[in-house]
Amino acid sequence: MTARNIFVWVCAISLFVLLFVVVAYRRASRPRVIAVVPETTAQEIWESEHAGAAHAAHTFGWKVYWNAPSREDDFPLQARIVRRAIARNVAGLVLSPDHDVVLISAVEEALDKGIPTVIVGSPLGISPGNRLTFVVNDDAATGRLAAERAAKSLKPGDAVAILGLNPNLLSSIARANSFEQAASKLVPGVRFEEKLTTSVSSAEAEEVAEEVVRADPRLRVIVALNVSQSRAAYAALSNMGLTGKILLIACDQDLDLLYHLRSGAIDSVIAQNTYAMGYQAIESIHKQLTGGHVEPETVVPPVLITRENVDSEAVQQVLDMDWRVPE
Amino acid sequence: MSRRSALLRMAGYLAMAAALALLCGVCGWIYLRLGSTPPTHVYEFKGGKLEGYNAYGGAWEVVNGAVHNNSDERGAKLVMGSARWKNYALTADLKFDGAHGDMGVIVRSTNEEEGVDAYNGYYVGLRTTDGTLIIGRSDYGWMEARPVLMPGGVHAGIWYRIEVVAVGCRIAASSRNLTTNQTAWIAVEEHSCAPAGRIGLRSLATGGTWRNIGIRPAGFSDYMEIRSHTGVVGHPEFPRREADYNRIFRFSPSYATSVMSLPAADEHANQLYHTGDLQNLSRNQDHPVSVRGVVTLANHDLYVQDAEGGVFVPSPHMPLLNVGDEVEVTGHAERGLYSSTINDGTVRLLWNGSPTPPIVITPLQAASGAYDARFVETEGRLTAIRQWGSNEQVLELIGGGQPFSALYENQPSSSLPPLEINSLLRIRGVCVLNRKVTREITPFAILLRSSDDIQVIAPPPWWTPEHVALLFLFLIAFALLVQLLYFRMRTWQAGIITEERERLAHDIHDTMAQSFAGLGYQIQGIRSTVMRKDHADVKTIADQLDVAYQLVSKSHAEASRTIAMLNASAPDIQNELPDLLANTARKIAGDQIDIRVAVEGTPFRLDLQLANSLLHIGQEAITNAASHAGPTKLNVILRYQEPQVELIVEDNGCGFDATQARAGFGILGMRKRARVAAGQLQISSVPGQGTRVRVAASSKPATLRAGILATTAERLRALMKWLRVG
Repeated sequence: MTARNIFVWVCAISLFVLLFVVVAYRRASRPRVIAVVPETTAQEIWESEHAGAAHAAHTFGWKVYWNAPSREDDFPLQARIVRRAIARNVAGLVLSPDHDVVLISAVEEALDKGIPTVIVGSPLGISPGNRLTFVVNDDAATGRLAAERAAKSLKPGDAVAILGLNPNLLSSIARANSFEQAASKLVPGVRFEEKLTTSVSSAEAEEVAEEVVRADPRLRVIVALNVSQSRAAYAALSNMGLTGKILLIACDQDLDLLYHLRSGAIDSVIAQNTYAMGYQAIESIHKQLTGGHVEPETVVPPVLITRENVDSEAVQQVLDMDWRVPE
Repeated sequence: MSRRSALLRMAGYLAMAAALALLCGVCGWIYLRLGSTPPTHVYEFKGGKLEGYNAYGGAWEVVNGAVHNNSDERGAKLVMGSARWKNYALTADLKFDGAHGDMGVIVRSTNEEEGVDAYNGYYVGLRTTDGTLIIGRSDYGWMEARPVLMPGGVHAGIWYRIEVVAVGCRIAASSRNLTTNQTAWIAVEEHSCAPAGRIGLRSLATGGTWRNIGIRPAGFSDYMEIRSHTGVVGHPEFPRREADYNRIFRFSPSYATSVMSLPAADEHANQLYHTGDLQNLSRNQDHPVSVRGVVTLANHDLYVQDAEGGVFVPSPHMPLLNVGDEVEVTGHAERGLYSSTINDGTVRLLWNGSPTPPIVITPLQAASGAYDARFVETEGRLTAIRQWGSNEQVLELIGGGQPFSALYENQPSSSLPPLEINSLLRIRGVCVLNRKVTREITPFAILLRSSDDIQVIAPPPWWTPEHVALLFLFLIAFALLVQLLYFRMRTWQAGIITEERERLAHDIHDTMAQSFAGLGYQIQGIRSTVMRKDHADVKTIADQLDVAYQLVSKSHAEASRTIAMLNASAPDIQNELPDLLANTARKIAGDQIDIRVAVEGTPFRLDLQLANSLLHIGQEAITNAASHAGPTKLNVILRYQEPQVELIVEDNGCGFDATQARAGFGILGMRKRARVAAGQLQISSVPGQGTRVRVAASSKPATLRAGILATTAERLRALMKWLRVG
């Protein structure tokens, strides 16, 4: 082999090695991406989760892929988004399922690919373990807080409507059960009117609320178990001129609900601390990826928001929606 | 190679690499530079087509040259243009269908997906809820600058003109009410901005119409023209917390009583029903009913569904509605086979909602009637595309053995995306079993809302009967070709063996046979001398024995060379070629002929086959000259001109008529050897003027290549001949 040939070969091999090193370095230096898929991106309750997740991810030098359906019942699209994220080889998955059963297969696909997965908000219909952890709202506490708040306006024989009981979301059932147990203890003899629905249609929810109000003159309290139902109940009461006369306790926060809380049309909002959930979910993934000990299930206490405490730092921290991180 | 020339060569390579890199850089710069400037263009949507646009959610269609989104979906986007467009101004007129929602345009958009804020870019729009002009950054999350109040508010049914200028990391926008000419301005700057991207249309929680969409390159002065009207330059940083927002803005209720375009129906004069309950009403009575639900299809007729089912409302009195609107329908219920119809319907808009997700079903389930009048998604293979009447497009499909059709009403055929028969399609729309709609051609039909409801899952399969037949023919042809090649290879193999034998025969004829013949003559001569008992001739006998010995030595040498050709462990004939030729000439011609052997040029090493061919051609030429021409002079010239080598044997003998003479065994042998060496043989002779044999060939690499080419050409000629004969 001539000196010229040796030179050409050395150059070619050096170029190849350099290219390989550059590509490998770029890959290695690319931040890990965690997919955070809330129930929907159309409600501010999940923007707080976005903020919590983004801030936690920033501390580890990670990035967040944030996307979800525009409706909280669009579970086919949510499953597609999860699968798309899996195909992109995300380092972790944080999911707030729109359906407690349908999303199981998508989550199992993530787990099969070794992607640590954290369920946030409402539990999924499988047990945690094997890279699957839950960081969920303490729905029993939500029910108890609502009961304590409602008890102040209830007397034996009064009726309470529980709207938005959705069999597709385990959290709504847990909240309703907890509320009934606690309220029965606090105010014996109180009656409960449960309304089951799988729809998030505001029109239907409003119709249900109106029916309930008309049907029982002794209705004193409405407990709405989710954002859509709370909006509809507010609209129904507003429409019927009953705001303030029938106590409306809303579960889960949104900007317009808090606006109506400030105006007095809504008695209280029992907020999920989605900021903390998002933050803890990312921490849980970090622990899993670094071999640390991870609790299979973490329960995050809800926060009761009233007109009196809505502007407090503690509450506003829960309602933080600033998902931006320093460049 | 000297050190200097090696360095020069290396420098040459480096200069070439640098020039190449520079060229690539220049090309890249030109590519980026040219591609980053958008053309000045007004989008006209000719033929009702949304070609070159990507829809992410929504139900988009072209109506009278304007783009309409017939859906309340949150964050529906229609994106167009180049992801490399940088500094430009985008103008569009827009009109809200609903009283609650956002409408606007996107600039510098990349990485778009389905989802409310699933893109990276800027959105500039009008918001009815608080009557503001908004601008913000979306990066799979939304962060807006502080909104600016639009004078006179933002209302449905009014045209607004939005102009956005994006220059560097500065974005400025204006919005003008085209009825009152009231205008609002807003500007933002961002440190780390989205530098380039496509343009798009976007709406949130309302449908609407865009028209006069135009783009042009823009500069700093364009930005400043709008910026000069704004008080402050904002940043996408709002709202951080709930208190920030609720301190500034007042929510108007999303409840839409205030926007009813028709007088409210006598509220609750009719009993409120769920759609499922309507099927339990008696057939023969008039039932005034009210139903609440979500609009799944709104053209001149209306389809509404709730959690229990769907209803059909033919030609109702209704405001402008979009898919996703939540409404109350009041009218007279008529039970159908699978779902009910509300006749004389009056529709009241309740909420601007978001479209219901479809129920995913099989065509068989759809045909069962359980999903009549509901929004569904199903899959099928396209069997035909037809047109009913002047403007109803019909896709005929089959899925799971169940035929069905998809109907796209009031649209020209150009509005359909390009579809191939036998493609697998995913269809979304309202499932209808009404025979007036299906025209009894299929059990059910899917009513499409827009062309985006058709999604191609897979192109037509390749295993059509035609393709299978073609494949079969191809396989047969391939098998025949393989067979043919096999036989040809066998023939070629036999040919090669025969050729090699011929070559050996030539070698033996040219060398050993000639020597043995000479040896025979010598032995006969010796015998004659001995028989004559002529003792005076002892010296002659000794001389003859010397010649015989030399002939035996020559034969031995020739045999060694032939063996060397066979096993490639040859004596060094490459270097000794001139000497060997001279010896041959002297041995064959003796002292009778004046022999001159010359070597011209700088000798270089030849490959064994070429050297051997030249040696034998030279030997044959010398032998022929000595045997047949009776020359007095013989010149043997070996000329080296790298990579060319040339051998010339010329005599001044009697010559012959080269045009008339038939090539003998010796000449044929020379030709063959020249061909094997990929050389050219020329024999020129004129009677009385001697003969000149010239062979020229290239040294090793060219010889190999030429040899391969010559062999291939020879094989091809043989194949063509064989085919012609066959």
